[in-house]
Amino acid sequence: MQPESHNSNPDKHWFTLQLLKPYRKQLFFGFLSLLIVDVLDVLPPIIIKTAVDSVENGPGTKRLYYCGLILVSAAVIQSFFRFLWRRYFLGTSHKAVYDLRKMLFSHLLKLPFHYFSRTRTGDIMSKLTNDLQEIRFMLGIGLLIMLDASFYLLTIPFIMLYMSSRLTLITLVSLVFIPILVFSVSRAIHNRSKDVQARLSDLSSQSEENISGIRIIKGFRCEESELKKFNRVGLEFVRDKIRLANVDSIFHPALDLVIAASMVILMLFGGKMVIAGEITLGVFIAFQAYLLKLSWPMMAIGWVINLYQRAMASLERCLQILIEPPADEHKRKPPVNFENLGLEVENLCFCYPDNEKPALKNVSFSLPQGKTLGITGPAGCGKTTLLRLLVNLFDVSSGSIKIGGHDIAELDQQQLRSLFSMVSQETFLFSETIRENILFARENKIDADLAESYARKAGLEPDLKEFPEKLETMLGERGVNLSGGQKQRVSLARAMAADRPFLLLDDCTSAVDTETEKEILYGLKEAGKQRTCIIVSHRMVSLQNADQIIYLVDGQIAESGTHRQLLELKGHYAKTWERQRLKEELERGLS
Amino acid sequence: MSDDSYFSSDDLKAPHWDSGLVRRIMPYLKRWRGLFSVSVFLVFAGTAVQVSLPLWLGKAVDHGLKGKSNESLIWFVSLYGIGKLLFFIISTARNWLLQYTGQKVLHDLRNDLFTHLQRLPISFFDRTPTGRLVTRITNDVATLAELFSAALISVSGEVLILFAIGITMMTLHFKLGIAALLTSPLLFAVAWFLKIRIRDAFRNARAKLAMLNAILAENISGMSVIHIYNQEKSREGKFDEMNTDLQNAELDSVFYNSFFIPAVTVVYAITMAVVLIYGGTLVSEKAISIGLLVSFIAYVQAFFEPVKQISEKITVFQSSMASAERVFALMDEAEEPDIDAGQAFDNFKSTLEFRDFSFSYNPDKPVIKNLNITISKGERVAIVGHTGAGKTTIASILKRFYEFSEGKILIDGVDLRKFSRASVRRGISLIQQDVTIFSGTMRDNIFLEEGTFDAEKMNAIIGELQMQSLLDKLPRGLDTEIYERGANLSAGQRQLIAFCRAMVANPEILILDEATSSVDSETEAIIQQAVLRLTSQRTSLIIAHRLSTIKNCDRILVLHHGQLVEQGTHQQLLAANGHYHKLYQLQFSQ
Repeated sequence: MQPESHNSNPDKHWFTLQLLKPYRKQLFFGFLSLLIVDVLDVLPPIIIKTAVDSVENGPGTKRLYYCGLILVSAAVIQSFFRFLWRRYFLGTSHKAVYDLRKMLFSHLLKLPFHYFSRTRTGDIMSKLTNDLQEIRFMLGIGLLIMLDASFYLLTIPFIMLYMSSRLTLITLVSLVFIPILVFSVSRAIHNRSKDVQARLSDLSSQSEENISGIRIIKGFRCEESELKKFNRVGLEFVRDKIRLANVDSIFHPALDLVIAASMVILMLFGGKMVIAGEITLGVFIAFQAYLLKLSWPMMAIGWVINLYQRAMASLERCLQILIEPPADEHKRKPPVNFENLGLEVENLCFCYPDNEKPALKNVSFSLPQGKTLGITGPAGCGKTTLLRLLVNLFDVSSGSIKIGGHDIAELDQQQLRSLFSMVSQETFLFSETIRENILFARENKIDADLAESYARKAGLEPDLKEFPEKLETMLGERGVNLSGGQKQRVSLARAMAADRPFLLLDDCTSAVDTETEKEILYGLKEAGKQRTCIIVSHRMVSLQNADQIIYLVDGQIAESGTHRQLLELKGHYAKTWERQRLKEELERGLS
Repeated sequence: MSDDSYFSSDDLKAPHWDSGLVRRIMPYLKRWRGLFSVSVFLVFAGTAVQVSLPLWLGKAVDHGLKGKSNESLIWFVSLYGIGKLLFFIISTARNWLLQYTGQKVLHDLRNDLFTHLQRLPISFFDRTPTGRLVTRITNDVATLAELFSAALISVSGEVLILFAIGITMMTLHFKLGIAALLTSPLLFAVAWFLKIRIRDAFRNARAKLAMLNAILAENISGMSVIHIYNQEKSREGKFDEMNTDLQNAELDSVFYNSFFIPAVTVVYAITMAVVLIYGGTLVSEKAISIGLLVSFIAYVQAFFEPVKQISEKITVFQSSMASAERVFALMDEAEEPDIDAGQAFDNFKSTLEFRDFSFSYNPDKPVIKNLNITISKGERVAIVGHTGAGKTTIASILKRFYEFSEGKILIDGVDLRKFSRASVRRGISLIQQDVTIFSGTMRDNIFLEEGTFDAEKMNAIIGELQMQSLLDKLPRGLDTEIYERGANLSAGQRQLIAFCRAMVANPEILILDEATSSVDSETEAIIQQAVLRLTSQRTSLIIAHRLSTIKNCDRILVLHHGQLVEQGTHQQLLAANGHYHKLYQLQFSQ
């Protein structure tokens, strides 16, 4: 499957067909098996009739054995195809849902950063499991029943017409109620199913957040209030589920009633016809039998409509993910050969999507390859934003960022990202081994020696000794079994192991002492003289050796230059430096 | 690879207990037994009405058609029509009631599960990924719904019909009846053989689904890291492994599931053949009438209708059994002892003492060794030491998040374990480095307990922590919607939320795991002030990282590898020229 379907608003039905397309062969064979099964289904009544006739007409016990034999062998053949038919249809539904889930996940991987900050994790999880299940029911058992029912629906009325067209027309007149019924109910089922799925998402989000924050909840003893919240969401779910049941539960019986009406008509009119001698009793009995056979496709219509509407509601929810424009939609470009990796930022402006206040205004600077840039300034001045723009987690609003003379907007996003490694304030580790976490960005995630050397560079060695399985220690979710400092060092090692021309450190050495920080920074420089570093920090001492320092205020560059130049400027930087120095001295003096 | 990971370590070893499961579900049904018995009654009534319908049809044929009487035709047809109308009403009511009761029962079950989850010890959450638990609460409970609405009740109705037909056949002609039922054990054997396999397949599929959900949750939370290191491909690969596992498990269940109906078809044909041959022979020997044979044929046909229905539902049944198993396995996780049991801790009078206290998460690696400390009321104590020295563990222990057995912790001379957990957790507040933020407003995040918002208290806190200027930076102040995990908050704002939470709780003892992430000087000043104010009136233990905090403390405890190596004031410790001195030089000098 090509995940090409995220242009504007894909049609649900077209999309479903696309999903099934790779399996058209299986579906064809499934359909063929279905035909064989249904045709063979005509056989048993005939055989039984023959057997009864032969008994009635005299002692034909031998024929009885033949009949029995045929009956059993027909059943064996039928059951073989019945097996195939189920396997083909149900198997296909699982495969198609596998494809869809894969498609959704790859799409998620491409979505911009902002999507995940405004979407609850539980909601996405619910879509990729609960909603996919509804879709699977439709594609598997739904499709199967639909085809089976259509077979009966398309053949039986014709046999009836053949036997007595007048009686057929009178009898089946009540069937016009079916489209009316279906039409009036299906909208309601669709909308209410959608509500139910949305409530299920709420439940999932509610529990996801609760479990992630369980330490706080227990710590503040607010279990009861959490229960109240959960109960409320649960009641909403039950309410919507019952609203769905209101329509649902009358739908089947109503379809059944339509057939019953046909039956009553048959008995009245057909009965009178028999009494009047217009038709034989045999035809009457046959009609009755056929009407009973029609009640199965009627039931089936009920089911299928139900499954269909639920699946479509769920598909809509899944498509919501797929229509989100991926971050790199227009960013697949041929790779560029860089002559140098000088960084050039010109008149850079940026606003966050739901915020009018610009986060960055007219920021310009240039940074030759291999140099170190320090960025500092008060909270919310745009330091982290600047780093995020460099790696294109967001698009710039105006102005430009150029690397080696190429505007990053014109670069292939994958290539751009592969130039950077970044350590953010908040460390996120995966629940894999420490080795796998360190070698996260490497092709080869097995090389233990390599992992160890980076662990050493990040000052992790003493910590590793503490763990019984060293590098192979399994981390818990988000690294729960590590201390804050250890997490920071693992993520530093991960950034170093990525071995990329740009290294961005976003205030990430706060849990590492100054000495180690210095060593780490020195080690980084030694490892690659050509590596460009951008260090964001509040600790001015970490920046003083940078080739260039920028002081940001409210998204604008207030001052820039080397440490020495900035001190001579006697502006914000000098003031802050002085304050930090005094504080340090004061504290030393106290001791 | 994925097989040895944290995600696949549990799950497939739950025992097979069918009757046990039913016994577990029963109490939930009992709560709604009124509605439930009405549903069961409706199921039986519906069946009775349905069974009576052919009777009216037959009478209409006999008296109306054969007797050529229009009147009796209309009479019996009306009866038939009324019967059908009645059936319509009954089945609508039955469907609705089953859904309604089912949802109510599940709501109870889900709430119980959630309540149970709130009572599990922290160590359980340390080893269980969130995604897996979410799957149990939503997905597995939803699958269990089918057990009520589809399986349990209608299957019992079908079984009733089966017995009725079986008994009728045997009373009509015992030998032929036995012959017709001869294949039933075969049916039973097939069902039994497949039941276990289908169940295993479903169980496997459910476990795989839970793993998939866990992986999903993690990848979504760590999306920015994946993006920054261009690991989309490798993550896709990992996810695909899980997705493929799930697919294979599901396909397994399809395989066994596809077996069942065909097997029933064959058994049906064999039964029919037996009845035809044996019955036919009996007819030709004039032992029975041909009419009886026709009735038998009709009964065999009727017999296999519920069999087909049951076998269709058996997959539903098995799939919900697999879910039920997982739900109840979670219910069986040992809860923390009643958090309200024990003495109430509401007034801290004199001392908090650790006496010969040792602790380890796993036996071979002690975290704290033989700790002896006494902290007096009102004291402000700093704990310093390298990472991994056991500082955070002390905090978790005081909160009673983990059980301990070696040594004692005494509050005013009373063993900590004698107090109720609830009151200890209320009375001792812990402010952690990683601040957990919930989606909701700023207000909801500060007053975690719903409906406890108190504007006066809030204003007092804002005033005391001097955080108005920070609030002003948020677009809608206290009513600002905060994204999941606080994506739209700065590190400083998060810290302050944590402080506010502690202020709301107004604890007797405060433990502060001081945040290491540095913030700008303005926020820094506010936070420093806040720390001072928070701790000045209260007994406080501060896991300290900032020199300024340490200096403001009455006493400093130096921990090294879980042992208390030194204690004293900053000056005393520096003068002692020991471990603290080294630590100080390492951390605070250039």
